[in-house]
Amino acid sequence: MATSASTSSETANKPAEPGRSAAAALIDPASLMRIKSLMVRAKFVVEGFFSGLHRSPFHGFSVEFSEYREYSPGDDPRYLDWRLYARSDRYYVKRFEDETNLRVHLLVDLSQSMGYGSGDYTKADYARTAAATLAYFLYRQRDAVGLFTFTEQIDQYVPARYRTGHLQRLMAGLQTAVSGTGTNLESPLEHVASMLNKRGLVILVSDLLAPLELLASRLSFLTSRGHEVVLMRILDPAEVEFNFNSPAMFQDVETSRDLYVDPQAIRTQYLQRFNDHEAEVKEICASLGIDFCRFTTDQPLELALFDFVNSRLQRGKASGARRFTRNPSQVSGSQG
Amino acid sequence: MSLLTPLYIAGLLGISLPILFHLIRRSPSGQVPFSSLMFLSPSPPRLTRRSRIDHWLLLLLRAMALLLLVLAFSRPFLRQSTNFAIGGSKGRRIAILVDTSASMQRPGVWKQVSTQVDQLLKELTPADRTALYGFDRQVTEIVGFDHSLRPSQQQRHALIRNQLKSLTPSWLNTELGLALSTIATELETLADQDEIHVDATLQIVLVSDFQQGATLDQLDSFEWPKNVKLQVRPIECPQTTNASLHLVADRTQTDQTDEDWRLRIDNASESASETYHVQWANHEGPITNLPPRSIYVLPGTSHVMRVPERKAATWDRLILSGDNQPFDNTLFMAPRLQETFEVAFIGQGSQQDPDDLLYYLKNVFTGDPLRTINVVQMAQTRELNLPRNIPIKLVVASGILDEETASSLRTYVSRGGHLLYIIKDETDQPSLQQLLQDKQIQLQEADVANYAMLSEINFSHPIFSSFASPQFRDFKSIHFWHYRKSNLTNSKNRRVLARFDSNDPAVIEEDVDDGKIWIMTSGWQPADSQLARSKKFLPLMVGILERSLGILAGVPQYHVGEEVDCLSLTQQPKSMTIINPQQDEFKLANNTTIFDQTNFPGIYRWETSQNNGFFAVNLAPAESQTAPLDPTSLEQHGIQIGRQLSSDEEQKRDRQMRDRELESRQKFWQWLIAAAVVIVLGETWLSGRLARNLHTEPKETT
Repeated sequence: MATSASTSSETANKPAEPGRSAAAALIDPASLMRIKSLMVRAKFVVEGFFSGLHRSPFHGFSVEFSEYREYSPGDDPRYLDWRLYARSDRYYVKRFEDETNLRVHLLVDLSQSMGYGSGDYTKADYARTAAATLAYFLYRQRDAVGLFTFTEQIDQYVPARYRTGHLQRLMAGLQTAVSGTGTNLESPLEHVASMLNKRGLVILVSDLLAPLELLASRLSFLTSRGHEVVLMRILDPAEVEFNFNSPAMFQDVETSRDLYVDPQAIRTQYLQRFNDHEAEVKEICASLGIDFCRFTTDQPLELALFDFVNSRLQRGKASGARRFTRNPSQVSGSQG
Repeated sequence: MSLLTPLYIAGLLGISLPILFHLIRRSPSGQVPFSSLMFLSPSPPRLTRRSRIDHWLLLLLRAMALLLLVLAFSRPFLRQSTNFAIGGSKGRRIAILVDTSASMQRPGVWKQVSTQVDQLLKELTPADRTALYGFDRQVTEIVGFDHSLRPSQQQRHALIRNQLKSLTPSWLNTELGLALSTIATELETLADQDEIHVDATLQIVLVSDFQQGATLDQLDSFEWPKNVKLQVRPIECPQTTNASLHLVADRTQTDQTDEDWRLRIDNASESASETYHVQWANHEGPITNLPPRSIYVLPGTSHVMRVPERKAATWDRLILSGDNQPFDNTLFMAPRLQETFEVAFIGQGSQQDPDDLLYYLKNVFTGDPLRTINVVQMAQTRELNLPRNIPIKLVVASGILDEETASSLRTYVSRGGHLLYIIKDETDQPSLQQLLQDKQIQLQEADVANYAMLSEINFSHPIFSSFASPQFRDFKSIHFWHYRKSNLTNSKNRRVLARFDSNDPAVIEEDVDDGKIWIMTSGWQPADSQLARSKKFLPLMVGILERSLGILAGVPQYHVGEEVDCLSLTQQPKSMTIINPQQDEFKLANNTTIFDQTNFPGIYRWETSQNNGFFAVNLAPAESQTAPLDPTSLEQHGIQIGRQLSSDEEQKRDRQMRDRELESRQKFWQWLIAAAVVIVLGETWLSGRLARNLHTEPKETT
């Protein structure tokens, strides 16, 4: 398979950020996938990523993770810092030493469709590496990271923790092989929503090659509980471009159903349907305030990480702006 | 070059298949795994744009192998000589045997006979000789083999067709076994006699409805000739629902009345209907003022019922309705006419005195629904021999008769009359001598110590025949206090029918010309005996009366085709005339008592100078068994079922056999198979080589 980076519309529209300038020195995903250990792959990406940065991407964003957090309804009033209240006339919650800054849950789709890959590695390999990279990255900044892997239902659950050895546990969880006979997003999302009581960040890594009837409602379960949701769609370049030439029996890797297809005849129709599907996904995400980013497996993982961090930055700014318009006094307090 | 099985040549079409597959094959197939088919839709198979043949030699080899295989299976051979010696045009002898039994009267059956015969005649060759026979109870030659000497085949066939048109089914039963054995024997005999067509093949063509009622018993003891074949052309009846009506009775018991008869309704196994109706009818049609009786009979079963009450003597038939084969739906029962006659008593006595003979005579002959009997005391015996409106059937006399009375009684008896004379005492000797015209007769009052009993009774005589059964034979309970001894003994015209235990005659019968005189040496009144007050008296007197009537009480039943013994109808069948249902008269010859013209079902009337009466003739029950018989069941009797081949067909068969022999000798097919194997090996080698070349070529990248 050709390894030329096919730039999607998402990446094409990106501004020239620092990470972008270092694109030439980025690691080829095919080379990266040859490394067996997920941990090593993650380290490799994250270290490289940091070395490429000229300033900390967490700077503005880490304010959110400061020692004092603005009190919001639902927080335990025992942890209110009364001295600070006396000083500032604002309610702040005092954090304990062992409480992490952020609770992140990675939802990784390991269904059979993720086992497809037109090249030497599959979408599942790419998704694992991306999830491992994010986990390593977040762990490094002392966030609690949890993991769900799912096919048609939740297969594996590693609760969000920040403790010694937890990263290894996460990496072991990600090593699960692809299985199942279909992709069902609704049931796992519903399950996750019922399991996660504390608000946090939920990163859904999937190809989303499934009907979308109930996706909006299930994602809204998460957002309505206060979770922030990031949707990372992993696709194979063959799925995006459908660049097959000769007619053949196409076999569904999930259901083993055969279909005689002449790609040249139906390529336009395929792309139309594919784009419609993606447009629908984007529409759902936009309506629920979910960050959506699409990666093809030939894109360097640093870019994926960069896109994630960048979207978080964007989000932080946007939410700050929204807060400002709603209640300027609180914004000033949060900055203090 | 000829082919033994040329149909295999059609296999050559198979050669086109590799070419066709090559040209219209689908694009190279192979499975391509893909993550999801949700955005894909099936595409119709595309014909390849490539329509040229790549490997001509390979194709040629394959086609050649197929061609050789096809040729091998067609069994080719070289005909060495095409001329066949034309054998003598030996014809077949074909006896067409047409069933004309009663079951062929069913609707839609007889029409098929001419169709079948027409079809058969068309299949014949000019050399064939045909004859037409009909059969039911017996075999009838309609058109013999002699007609076959007519010059033109058309004329011969026209004759058969014309004769068949005039043929109609009878009412007789089906003796299939008899017919087949008769015709087979006749064919064989004719073949032996024929010197011209010595080697002619013999064939019977049977056109019949093959009903199960057909009798095959005759075939059990018949050895079927080996050179006769039977071809069966069954006729199917479009109507399957059939029920029939028959009497269940011992037909020899002629004294049975309507109440004793039972009806049996048989429903054929393939009938569609289950409910039938039975009602009385006369010659004008069904009796409509009485509702018909409904009977429920399951298909394949029978139902037995009592004969409905006959309320009028003219009702002479029972009709069954509800099925669609009416030929066996009528059961004839002879009418029993009301009869009035007189029994004359001559002698002294009173009808009111219970000690008198006449008192008991009056009470014993009371009559019945079909007979009115008047017992009259007659003073003037001259009346006996004069014409009367009401006939005198029996004269009972007792005591002393004057000369004139005895003479007129003698005249009456000699004209066919019947006299019962009871000897009152020994003074009756002159009267008895005069009556019997025997001066030797001596009478003497017997000396009975206590009582006398009857013994040595001739139970075979009609007067005593009703007591013939062991349970009725006991006469010991009847005591006789007085009787008269006589010297009457058995002679040419005189028979002692019963004796007392002292061996003296008790009842004597004497024939006088056409009449009879019965003499009883003791009376039945209580002064003489207990006879009048015993249970035996009534049957005894009725026996005497019926003997004197000369007619038997019952109405005999016969089947179509059966012989009627007229003695069972009347004691004196002399100069009897019988009129059948078609009003044809038959005069019975003097020297016979058998009537054999019962060819139609119906009521037959008989007449003699003295009496008349009826008897009924019905369809044989077997003829109503219309369910079809399996024609192959004939094979169980050793009959060869099949068709004799015509001379053309035989020539064809001979030619085919010769071809087969030639082919088996030449065995070209083996060479062809060997060649095909060699070509297949060559093709395998070539295709293997081509495949290797293809693999070594660099793969085309898509």
